[in-house]
Amino acid sequence: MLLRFDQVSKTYRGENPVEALREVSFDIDTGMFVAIRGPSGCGKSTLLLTAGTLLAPDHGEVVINGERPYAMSGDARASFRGQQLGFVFQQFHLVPYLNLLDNVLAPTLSLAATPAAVDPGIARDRALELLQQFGLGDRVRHTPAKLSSGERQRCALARALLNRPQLLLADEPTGNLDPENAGLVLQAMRAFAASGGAVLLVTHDDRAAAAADSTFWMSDGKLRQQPHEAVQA
Amino acid sequence: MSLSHLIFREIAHRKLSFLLSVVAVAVAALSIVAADLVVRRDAEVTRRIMADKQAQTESAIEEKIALVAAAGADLEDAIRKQMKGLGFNVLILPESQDVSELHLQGSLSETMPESYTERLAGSKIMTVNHLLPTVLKQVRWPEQDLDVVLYGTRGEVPLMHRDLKKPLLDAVAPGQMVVGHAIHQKLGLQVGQAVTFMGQEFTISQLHPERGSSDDVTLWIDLGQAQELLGLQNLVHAILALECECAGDRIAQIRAEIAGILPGTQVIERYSQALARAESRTKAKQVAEESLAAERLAGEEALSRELASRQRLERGHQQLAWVVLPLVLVLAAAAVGLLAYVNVRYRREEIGVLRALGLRTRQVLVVFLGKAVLSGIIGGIAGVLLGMAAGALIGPILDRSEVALSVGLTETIVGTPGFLVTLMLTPVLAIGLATMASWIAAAMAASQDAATILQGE
Repeated sequence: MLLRFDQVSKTYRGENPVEALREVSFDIDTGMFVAIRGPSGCGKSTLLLTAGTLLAPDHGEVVINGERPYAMSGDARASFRGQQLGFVFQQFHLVPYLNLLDNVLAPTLSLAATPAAVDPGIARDRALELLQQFGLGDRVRHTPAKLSSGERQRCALARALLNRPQLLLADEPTGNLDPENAGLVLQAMRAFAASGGAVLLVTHDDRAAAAADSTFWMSDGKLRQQPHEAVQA
Repeated sequence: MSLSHLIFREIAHRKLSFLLSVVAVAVAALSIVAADLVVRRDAEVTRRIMADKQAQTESAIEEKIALVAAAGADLEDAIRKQMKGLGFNVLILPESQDVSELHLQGSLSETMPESYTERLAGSKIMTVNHLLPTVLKQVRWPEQDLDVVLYGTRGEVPLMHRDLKKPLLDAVAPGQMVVGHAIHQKLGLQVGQAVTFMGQEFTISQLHPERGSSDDVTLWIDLGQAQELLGLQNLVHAILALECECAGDRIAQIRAEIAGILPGTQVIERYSQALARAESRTKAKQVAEESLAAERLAGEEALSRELASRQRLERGHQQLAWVVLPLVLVLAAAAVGLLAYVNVRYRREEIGVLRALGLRTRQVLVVFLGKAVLSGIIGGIAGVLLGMAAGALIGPILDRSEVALSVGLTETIVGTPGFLVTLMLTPVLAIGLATMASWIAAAMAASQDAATILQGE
């Protein structure tokens, strides 16, 4: 099992406490492309960040590839995140002052001075290969400001895949894309899952959800599986 | 891809922010170096001025010493001459001589061998410095029909066991005559005039001014001629034994010494005259010393005044530095800190993404502190260079003295070990300042919660 959520709960404290996750349990195995749908504020992003080892749950257990990241130290969890997980965001979050090649290479920083460190030459070749794969081979020296939204998201996807993660976490990756580019991104994520990884996609987009192997519906912090046919319908 | 690459790319992307940080650090470093240079310039200028003044004072004192020595020698010589006119310390007379004759008539009648003088001079007498054999008798100047005191002198007889001293009484050459004041006034005599005295021809070599003593009615001629005129060949009336320090208990010692060498003689002391002479010499010495002391004091006071003035100026500059320097450092640190804080705020999203990509807390700290260190290095070096230039420019403005304006002063200071330490430490301080000022912002960046940032997006 690549990702396991076992009775995971998360509440945001404050004047008006919000139960973002309520005893959420689900599993994702390798090769799976899972989509989670639901209305705004239902806890989708909280689930994604918790799966991304960035937001510790109040209760329950998160297991990724047999490891319990929230039992690790902060630095160990950061390294684990860099090696095992890839992120794609709706807003792309590319570093504005780095060109595409450097943006794609940025995840290698997390491997520096660790046993998983990659030879810079090999990393560079891999980054160029990914950029070529996503149709950005002639834009490697361009900064994100000179790219279209679709190109930026493809670059972000290349960055997410550089360290050969086990799990790809995507938060509305097609939210700002035209249908053509959205199709390209979804196609790439499917290919990643097919190659032995796993994808957890959080989206409002029905077409994106339809691309997934299985879909969950989330409401008020609770998760329930949605029949695939219902999504496609 | 490395953290340094990330730092350099970010700097290239936000040049103005980095440039402002560098400028703030450079201003701090500049202030340190310039303040230190100005203070060291002050000290060097003071040292040079004081050295010059000291040399001038010492030179003036040397000149004064030479002047005083010359004046003292003249004064002493004049005193010596005066003493001669006033009389003698000790008169050695034949024992049979009635002293009242000398006091009442100004002349002597008893004689003793002139060889006594050589005997005394050949002895090892220690208390007497000068010996003058004389004949001294009241006679009639038949050619002028005038009573005078005839004083025959041959000048000083050297003491055999002493180095030759300058004679106290100038000898009168044979055929010449020195005339007392009352005589030359009465007869209307002139220097160079030929006169006949007791049948012999003399030329007047000197006319004495009025002394108010028996000297005014005295004629001085060569001892040999006087002995011949008086029929006293190889005889003298008295030996004038001159003793500079004959005051006090030493008179008894002089008498005892002379009595042992010249039996059958008596010694008359001219106490008051000897004391006056000693006092005059002491006074002359005292005047010279006081003059020198006054010169020294004036020199020292001038030096003290100059030093105090320089110290006031130095204190003023130091106080200015102590006020301005901390202010500049605080402002520079605040500026660097503020720029770092703004930078962190501006890069909030980037921090969240980097954390999501797996960067560790220490790496995020390095990203921000690395930039601070870089601004410290560049600002520190630039500040040192600019500070040297600023110090060299400001120094002469703050201190308008001639020495402060002299060429090469700054170069001299730059080569000193103390200032070299400042030059080497300032970039280190600049790096420390930039790092410390950026620390809070960097710590804020490192502690950013990626989840919160990404949720906010």
